Amino acid sequence: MKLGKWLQQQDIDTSCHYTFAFIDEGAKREIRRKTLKAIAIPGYQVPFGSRDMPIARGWGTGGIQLTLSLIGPDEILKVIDQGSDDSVNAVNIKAFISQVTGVRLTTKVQEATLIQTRHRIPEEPLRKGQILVLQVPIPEPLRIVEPSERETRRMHAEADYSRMWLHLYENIVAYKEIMIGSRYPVFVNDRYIMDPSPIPRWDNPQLHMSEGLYLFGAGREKRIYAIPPYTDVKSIEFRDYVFRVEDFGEATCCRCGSKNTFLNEMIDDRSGKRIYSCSDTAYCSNLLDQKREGYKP
Amino acid sequence: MGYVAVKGGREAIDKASDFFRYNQTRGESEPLDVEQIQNQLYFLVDRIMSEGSLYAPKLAALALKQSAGDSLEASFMLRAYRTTLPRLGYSLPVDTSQMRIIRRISAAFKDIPGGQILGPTPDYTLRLLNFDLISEGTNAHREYIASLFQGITQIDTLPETFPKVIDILRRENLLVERNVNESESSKIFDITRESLSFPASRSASLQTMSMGETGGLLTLAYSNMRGYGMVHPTVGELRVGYLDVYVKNPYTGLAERTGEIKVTEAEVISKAENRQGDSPVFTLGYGICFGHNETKAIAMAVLDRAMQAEEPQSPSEDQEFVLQHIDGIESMGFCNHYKLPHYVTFQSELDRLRKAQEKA
Amino acid sequence: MIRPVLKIKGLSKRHGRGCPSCYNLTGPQHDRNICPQCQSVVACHNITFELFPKEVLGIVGESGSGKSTVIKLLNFDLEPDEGELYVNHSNSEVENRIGLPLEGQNLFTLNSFRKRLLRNFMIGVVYQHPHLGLRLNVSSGGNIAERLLMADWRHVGDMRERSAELLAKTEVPVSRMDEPPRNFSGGMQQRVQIAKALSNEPMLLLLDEVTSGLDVSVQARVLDLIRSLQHELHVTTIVVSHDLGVIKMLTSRTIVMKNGHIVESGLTDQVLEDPQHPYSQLLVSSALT
Repeated sequence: MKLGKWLQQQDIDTSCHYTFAFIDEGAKREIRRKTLKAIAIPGYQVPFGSRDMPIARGWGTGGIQLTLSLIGPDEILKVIDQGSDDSVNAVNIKAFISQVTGVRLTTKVQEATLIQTRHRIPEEPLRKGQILVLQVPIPEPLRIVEPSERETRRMHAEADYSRMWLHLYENIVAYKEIMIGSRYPVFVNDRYIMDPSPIPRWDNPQLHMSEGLYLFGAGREKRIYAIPPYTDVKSIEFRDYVFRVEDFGEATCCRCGSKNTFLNEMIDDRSGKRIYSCSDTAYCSNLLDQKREGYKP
Repeated sequence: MGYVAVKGGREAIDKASDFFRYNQTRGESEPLDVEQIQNQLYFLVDRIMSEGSLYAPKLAALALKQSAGDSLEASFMLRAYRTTLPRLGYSLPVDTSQMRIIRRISAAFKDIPGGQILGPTPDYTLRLLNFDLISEGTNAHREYIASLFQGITQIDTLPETFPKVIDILRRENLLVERNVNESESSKIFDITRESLSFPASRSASLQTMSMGETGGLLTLAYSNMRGYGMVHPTVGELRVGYLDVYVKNPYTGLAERTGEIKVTEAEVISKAENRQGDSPVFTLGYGICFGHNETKAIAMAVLDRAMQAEEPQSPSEDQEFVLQHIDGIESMGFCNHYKLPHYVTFQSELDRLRKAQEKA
Repeated sequence: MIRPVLKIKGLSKRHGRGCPSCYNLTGPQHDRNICPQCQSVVACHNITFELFPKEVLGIVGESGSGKSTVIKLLNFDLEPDEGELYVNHSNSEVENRIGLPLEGQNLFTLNSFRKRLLRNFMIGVVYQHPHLGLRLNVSSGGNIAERLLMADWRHVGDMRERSAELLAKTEVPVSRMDEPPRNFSGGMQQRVQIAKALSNEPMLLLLDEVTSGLDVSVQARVLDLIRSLQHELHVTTIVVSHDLGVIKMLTSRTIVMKNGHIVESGLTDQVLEDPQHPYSQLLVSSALT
């Protein structure tokens, strides 16, 4: 259904107090323009006039503003948090977006046109035409070495990243290991160091040369940034201390048996017995279904 | 160090107080029922008890009514009331793993022994104004509760107690070990009886924060979370529930249960690097306060850890900076005291300025 | 004919509001830096000199002479109000990155991004106070590595090897490479600074009162080190000091500054033995022998 027709319908239905997708049209225009700028300068943090949302700051308002500015009535939306469609944050956000847009929801990555996510990239690589909107708490990768916003903006402007590299060097001196867990900085398009949001390092490689578009929204900090398709994205590393994703040893998913996905570690009972399961629940269910089908005669 | 007395034209002051009361009472609405405030504005009541440092929900509700909703004033009133009460003794230390839980979550693990119990929280609601609340009928509450329980035939019980999530990390040596200093634990500082000196003991620091003003604690903790600090927190466990209060019977020497209080407790795991021998470990920040106030407990836990930094690099890590500025009663009093006449001192300043201008 | 490797023309720096009379009412002939009209401080004015390859040039003067300001301007720590800076040097790495040839450019007109690159690759500086040149909470090897990282080194082992080499050269125990200089003595902190300044094989080394804060016995050791490094590496150097002994020991040519102006320049031996300007004469005669 076209947006115009949908809006017409709203006029007739007087119980709806809000515009389509909640945000006023002027705000949507500003956010879209800023998003275009972000796409034109991969990895660069574009400031924007972040609006107040009915969901708390720190809970995904940046991602929500991006989604609401881009979403049309015909989109198919998937929302995940920590990889799961059922996690509290995802459920909450889905409820809100569907309330103000009426769009169809899905848990299948393959079906979705727009995916909003907190802290994970789906295991299934993005297809051409898909957009992944990531929720970002702290957009500034240099924050661990410099608290001043004025100074970090200068550092980015001048590509003066030596203090970040020095931080990694000092980690190696102290621990023989780079200690950054998630939010592992990436070097985008040979120009900007970018924070990929608190995704595990496992997900960083997906950003490189993707067919889909990655958008990053930080509502509280008021920044939008992007990785357009087919962009060069490298996790920063030394030649003798290379980038390493999380190591699960011999663990496998207790549901589907996978060894190649990012796993959640859970403590089963008081004795501390550990079990693992896929963080990406939809992917896990898919694998499980495939396995079951394999047993059919 | 609380700010107290005021002098001025007696009559003018009386009239000003009357005027304030008049502002509160005019209009067509009925006088507020203290019980309504206690039940229906319970988060605010909990906050007042915590900042007033007196566990008395009804009195807190009364203070809110009397202060026309000024939370600093209401907390102030509770503190003042507290002064009128004799100190009978101290309760015995309580083990919070024995808490009667109404809410218990961990951000560190997807699932935890005992489960993630969401409990009563507005965290996941959409902040959309509900205009239906403007004109609720007198039976609205009864009807709502009836509809909630309609058709429910079975109610499961929660376990009596829940194990502490951070114990999982402790068992694997991933968390710094408890450092119980024998001499320190036998002497718990009482900030209501002795004034703070620095460096302050952990008990003094935790007490000061536990009765600190929520906004002040939040500001300082937020600065640390945003980058002016190194805590990098993960909420290991957040609990809201009821703790039994025991005192020692002076005659029999036995512990007697005197009642229970609702508290919020936060155990925050910090990534701030630390070492135990050769191995790096996570460290812990602890927060606890009266009533249901999660923002305060988490902020307190972050600041607890921040202040353990060996060399403060930012205000949130500086013990003196934090502890001296977070008491709401002191800060509000001092801020507002600037409205008092200062014309004598000002005259003095005028004299200096005029002279300096002459010489220029 | 050897061409100068560095040329400075008409370098001036003023702090404050400024007015048209500043330069006329300040300087050695007025015996002041502060403009009586507008209270601005003229740190230096109309500084012009040349520097030849591998030479060690001294700048001597008392406080307020402007000698440290000249260093800060050459290191791009400050922006000049007027002045031109030219180098006769090519460095293909730098030129590729800034997209311009170095020769013939007034380097003061480059934007801050390009100046930073130039500084990272081509200039080394050692300050009087270690906290200005070092990060005291970062390991001493890390301090050196920072310069290498700025020059795009990306191999930890290589950086540690180079740091160890430089620390050995500056007589800092290599076993202390992973310790922060906060715990070192003043003399050792200065030696770490020197190691850091030399790490990227700079075209120009700036030494700003490097021994002034140290005990006399420690000074001698650091000065000896600088001299022997000079003999080994032949780095073009400017040495700033109020101490004629330091100037005599390290430099071949000297400039004397007073109230922001150059009052005399020449071969060090000549300036010290036969000073022409009254101020130089005063300096030389006041020096303790």
